[in-house]
Amino acid sequence: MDKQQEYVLRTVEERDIRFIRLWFTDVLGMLKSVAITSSEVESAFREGIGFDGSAVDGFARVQESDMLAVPDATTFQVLPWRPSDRGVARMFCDIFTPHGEPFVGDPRHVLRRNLQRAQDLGFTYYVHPEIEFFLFRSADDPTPLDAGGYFDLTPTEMQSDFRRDAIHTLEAMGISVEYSHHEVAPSQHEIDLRYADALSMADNVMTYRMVVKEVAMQHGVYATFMPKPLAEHWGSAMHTHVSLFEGDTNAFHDPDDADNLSPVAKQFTAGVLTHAREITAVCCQWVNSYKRLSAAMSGPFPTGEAPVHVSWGRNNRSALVRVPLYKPSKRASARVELRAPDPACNPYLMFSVVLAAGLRGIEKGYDLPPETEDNIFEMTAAQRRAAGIVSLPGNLDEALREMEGSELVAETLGEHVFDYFLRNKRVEWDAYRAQITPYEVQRYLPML
Amino acid sequence: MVTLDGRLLALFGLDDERAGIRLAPLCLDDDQLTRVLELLGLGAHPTTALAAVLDLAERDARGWQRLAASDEHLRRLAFLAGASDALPDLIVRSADARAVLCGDLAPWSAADVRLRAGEALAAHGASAEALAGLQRLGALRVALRDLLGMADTPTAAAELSQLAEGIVAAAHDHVVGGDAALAVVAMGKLGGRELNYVSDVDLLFVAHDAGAAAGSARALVDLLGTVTPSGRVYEIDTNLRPEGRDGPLVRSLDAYRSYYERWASTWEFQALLKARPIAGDVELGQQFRTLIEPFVWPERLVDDAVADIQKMKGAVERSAPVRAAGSRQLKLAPGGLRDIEFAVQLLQLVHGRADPSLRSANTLEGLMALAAGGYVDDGDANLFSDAYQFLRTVEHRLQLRRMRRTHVVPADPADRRRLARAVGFRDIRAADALEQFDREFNRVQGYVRRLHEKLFYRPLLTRFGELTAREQRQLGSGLNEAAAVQRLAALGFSAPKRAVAHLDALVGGTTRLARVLRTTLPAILPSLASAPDPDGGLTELRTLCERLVHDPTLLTTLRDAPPSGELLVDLLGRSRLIGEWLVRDPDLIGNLGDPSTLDEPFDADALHTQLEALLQRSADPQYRAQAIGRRLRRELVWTAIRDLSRRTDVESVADHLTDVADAVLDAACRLALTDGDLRLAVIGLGKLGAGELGYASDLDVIVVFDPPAARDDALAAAERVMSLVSVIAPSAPAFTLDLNLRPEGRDGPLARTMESYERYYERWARPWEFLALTQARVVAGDRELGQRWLGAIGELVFQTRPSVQRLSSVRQMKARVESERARTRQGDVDIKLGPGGLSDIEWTVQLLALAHGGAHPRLRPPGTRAGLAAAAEAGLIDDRQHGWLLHGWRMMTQLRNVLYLIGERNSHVLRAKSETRAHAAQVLGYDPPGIQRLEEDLRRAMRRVRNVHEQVFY
Repeated sequence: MDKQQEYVLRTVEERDIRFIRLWFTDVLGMLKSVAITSSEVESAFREGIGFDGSAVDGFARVQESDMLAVPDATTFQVLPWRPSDRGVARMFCDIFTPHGEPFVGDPRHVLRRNLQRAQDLGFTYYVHPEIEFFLFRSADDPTPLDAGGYFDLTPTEMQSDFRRDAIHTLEAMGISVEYSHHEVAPSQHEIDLRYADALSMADNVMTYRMVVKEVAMQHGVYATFMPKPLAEHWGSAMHTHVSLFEGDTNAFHDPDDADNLSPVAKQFTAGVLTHAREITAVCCQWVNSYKRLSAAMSGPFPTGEAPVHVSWGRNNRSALVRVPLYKPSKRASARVELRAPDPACNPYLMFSVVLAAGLRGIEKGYDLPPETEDNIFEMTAAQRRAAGIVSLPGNLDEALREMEGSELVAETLGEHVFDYFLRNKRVEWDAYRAQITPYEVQRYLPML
Repeated sequence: MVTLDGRLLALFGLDDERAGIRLAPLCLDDDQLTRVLELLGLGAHPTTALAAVLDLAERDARGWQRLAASDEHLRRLAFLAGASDALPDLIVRSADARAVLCGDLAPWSAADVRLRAGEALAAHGASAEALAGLQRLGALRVALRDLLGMADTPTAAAELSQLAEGIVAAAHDHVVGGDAALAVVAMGKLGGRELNYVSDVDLLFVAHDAGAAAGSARALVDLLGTVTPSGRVYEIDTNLRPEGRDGPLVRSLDAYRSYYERWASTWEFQALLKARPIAGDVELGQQFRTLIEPFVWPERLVDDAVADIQKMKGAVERSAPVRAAGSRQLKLAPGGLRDIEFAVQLLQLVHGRADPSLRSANTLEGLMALAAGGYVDDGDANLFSDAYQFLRTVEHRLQLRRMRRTHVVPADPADRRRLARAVGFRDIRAADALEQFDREFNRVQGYVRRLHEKLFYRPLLTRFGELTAREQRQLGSGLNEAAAVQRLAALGFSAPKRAVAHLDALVGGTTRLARVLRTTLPAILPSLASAPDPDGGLTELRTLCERLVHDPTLLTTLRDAPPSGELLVDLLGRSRLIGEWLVRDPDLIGNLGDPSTLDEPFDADALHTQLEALLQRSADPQYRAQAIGRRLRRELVWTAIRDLSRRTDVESVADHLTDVADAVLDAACRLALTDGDLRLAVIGLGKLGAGELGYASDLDVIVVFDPPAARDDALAAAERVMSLVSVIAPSAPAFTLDLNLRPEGRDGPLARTMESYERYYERWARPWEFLALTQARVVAGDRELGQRWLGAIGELVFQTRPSVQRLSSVRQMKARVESERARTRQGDVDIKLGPGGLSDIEWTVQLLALAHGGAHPRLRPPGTRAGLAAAAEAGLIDDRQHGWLLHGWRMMTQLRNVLYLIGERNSHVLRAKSETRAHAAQVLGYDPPGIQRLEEDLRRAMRRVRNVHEQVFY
């Protein structure tokens, strides 16, 4: 640790870094930043930087709004989009109370706490998300870029330039990119990050969202992680591949099993399925998230493969949990893919609840229900009922009700975050309910 | 045929028959044998000595003959074998070792050793074996001096250190070329000149050019660490260097400086206290010393530094070796060597900044310097020094046995007996060596544990005027004010200046109490310092002592019974109310005299017998009421004390407080009622009826009388009961009688007849009034009348099929209470009326009783706990819901009690103030600061209660 901090100080000096942004994440998953000068870094390591917690969503503790942000030296990165001389760097922070305890409302601490539980059981938790997003002209004009010749470059050229720059920037910040492509919907993109331990990955997801928005801005366009910006097109998902390792061994792999799935993998999956409805509010936390999570394959607004049915399958894209096939030689890549989360979630909390649900399955030895081989979207409601397939909550309200009754989620998030999250989201839902949507006006005004 | 004294043979476990064969190899005649055996029998373990000489005689008959010729040498061997198995073995195997045994035993200086080691290296082609051999011989020499009484334990430790220094210096001379100046700095025990027979040698390396010198340093470490047939020369530990095993082995002065400026943590500076250059470039070593000085002795001690050191010590006490070996751990157990070293180092770090005379690396020297400077009491220092020497002697003897590094006194009695004898205990008529050793060992550990704390506190109290000349002689000059403030801050007082003023006031003056406090406070202040609110507790102690300055109870309690003094200050540091109560009732302080009485279960019968006697006394009712009140108040305070010292659980507290309230009402009724026809029964409702009183609860009652004709008498009697309760009730404002639950509330008569109640409840009562009646219980007065009332009213309360209207009216009432509840300030938690609070639990239980009590008679008896159990049994709530409500009730009831005792005005509200929360959390047993953990637990409990309430109640 000392070495790492020393490295940071040396780099700051050598590269003439003038400002360091201290990053942390509020309960809703928004990146917060406090900038300090290079001369303050040393004392930030030693004592932390004080800030007013009452200004941050989910941090308010009325009796003491003073909080301390202590930078994690292992997360030091120079921001590549800032000038190279007199540059700017960032570090993620852990938040502490004035009494020197890790603050229970800090999402990073929530994840750390849950990772510790996994570690107590002998597991390391690896995550690999596929993050989708849209590029639009601006925040108030959701016109797909592919639609028209707005730019000097052809839209396609501009968008591949953008992807190249974004990937380059991510790599420059030490975030390895696995894969990238243009998605199904117009103007939609996906960049997959190479798997990493969950804490680093949550930090990476926060960085990723920042980088994509920043690079888009440089290209004069706007990037959004809004789950479902266009009614007529598929939404943006964050399919999340997870696996547990015991030391260097992938605990999900079992060569002797017909499906190469170990009991741990099966129980983990069973846990995720059993608690899927409870954790949905955390995986899909906005009113808009549920517009994506509605399954209509046909009709005026097809929504595509949104995994609304709680089931699993191997090559079944309609299932909530997919077990991807992998080459027998690549046993380390045994994993399961959770398809519900969207890219506007709080990754620290989302990784936490998925882990906790899976661990619960392992601890209690849940049985994995049979695989669903049919395309669930083509099943009738009665067929689904017969197959014991339930659906995810249909809207934020339903998801919150499920979460309210969940001891698992309360324990995973801690009572402080649990309580704040529910209250905040309840307000959001109530505000949404009070809206008269254009749909209603268009449809009802002429008719009623 | 050998003819030897049987008793002599018995010493060696021999008899006549076996002696001939066993002793034959010695080739001695009887007279010689007798002489040899007598000499070998002088030591603590004759059989080992004999085994050694037999072995020697077999291997080297000439060597044995030479040895046998000298009484003195045999005597030396006997003493050596008394403590050690390993060293006699060395004597047998090595002629060089025999030369040491038979040679002169003058001490070797470090320079002597360096010279010999240099020669040995030169002679044996630079092998580590040569150094190891020399080290073993040197250690043997010290062991002989030690065991023969030529060197005491500190001297032996110093000589072992010189041995190590000489060998390290020789190794340095050997490996270092001319070009790379290298200084070798000893840390730890070697730095302090207090090495054990077998200990790690902690080293740091300093060079002008760290890169150039790295090879030499590595070679030195390798040479000393090479495994030879007799083991490594020394176990070298270089991990005290910056960054531990990850850091470079050698650094330049600048690199050390920049590390210490930036990164080093408190313990590293504490370790530097012992740094001492022992070999290599003298000037460089001296520069290093100069360099570290400002770090070890900074102008200003960082606030957290002392707290850090204290935390480290706490961690040591809980560490694995201590848990495994418990108090047999010489070094790490409470009362062990580490306690002494730690105490001395802590005081050196606190005061050594201002006073360079304290800066010794040696524990004993440091302790004596502290005493000389008045920082610790002379007497304490002497006791501490004796204890340290005793424990170190035990450690040395323990290690000599097999020349292994061990700090655990053996569990096996035979092994421990040998150790006891090696330390110097002998069987005497009163007790054998083992018993004496065990006793002494426990005694030393015991007083180190206690003294350890006195050491910090006593000088705080001896710095003031007003001491008698004799006291001044006894106590020395004490600390000046600045030093006292520093020390109090280090000990955990958040307002140390005010604390100094309080202490001044407590021990200043010529009163007897002040004189007693001067001697007893050092022993009891540590308990205060570790209480949740040391500053508040000290204020209370001062108030208590000022008010009770001439009270003999306080004086004798403090003077004669230290545990009760500790208990007293611990309680004052937990609860300010206790102080007020004790001022009103100083006799109770005397009761603290025997803390073991706190563990005795509450004896309701004894209380009732005593109250009965008071009731029977022929004095006027007012006087008797006061006497009873005092008795009951004592009971209440006693409960609070048991509660605060966590000797009881929340349920027992509720039961006990209810017993006290019942007794109050019973006494009031009996004193209020004169002879005559009038019969009066007091029915408890609410928490009183439920048998779940808290410290701050009101006593909800209604009164029934008979016969109807005695109405006027009854009303007058009810008035008298009320006024007597206010006299008897032990802790106003709590335990106030409240009659407002009676029919028609404030407008209704104070007492009614059976018939009147029945009429009212049949015709007029609002549905939710029945809810309160579910908790009705006869608490005082005429039992028969009360039970009859309960039976009759019970019919109305517990209907087999209660009307929907009645139940929904109750639900609506609850909803109204929730909506009209006074808003708590943001951040405050209302544990009574807030969502998931106690009232959610109570309403749930009571509604279930109201709705199902008719069908399930077991739901009828009052009480939340009983009601929950019955509801679970009847299947009205599931096991999980039962568990959640019960846990919620326990947690919040206990929290409410604690909030009352720590002086919160409204004990139903956990205020947002972090001091309050930290205080409550610590009284509840959370490790400080504990705020977030308390909040987490409370939130969870309340969420679950609310969850059940919404499912079951609405």
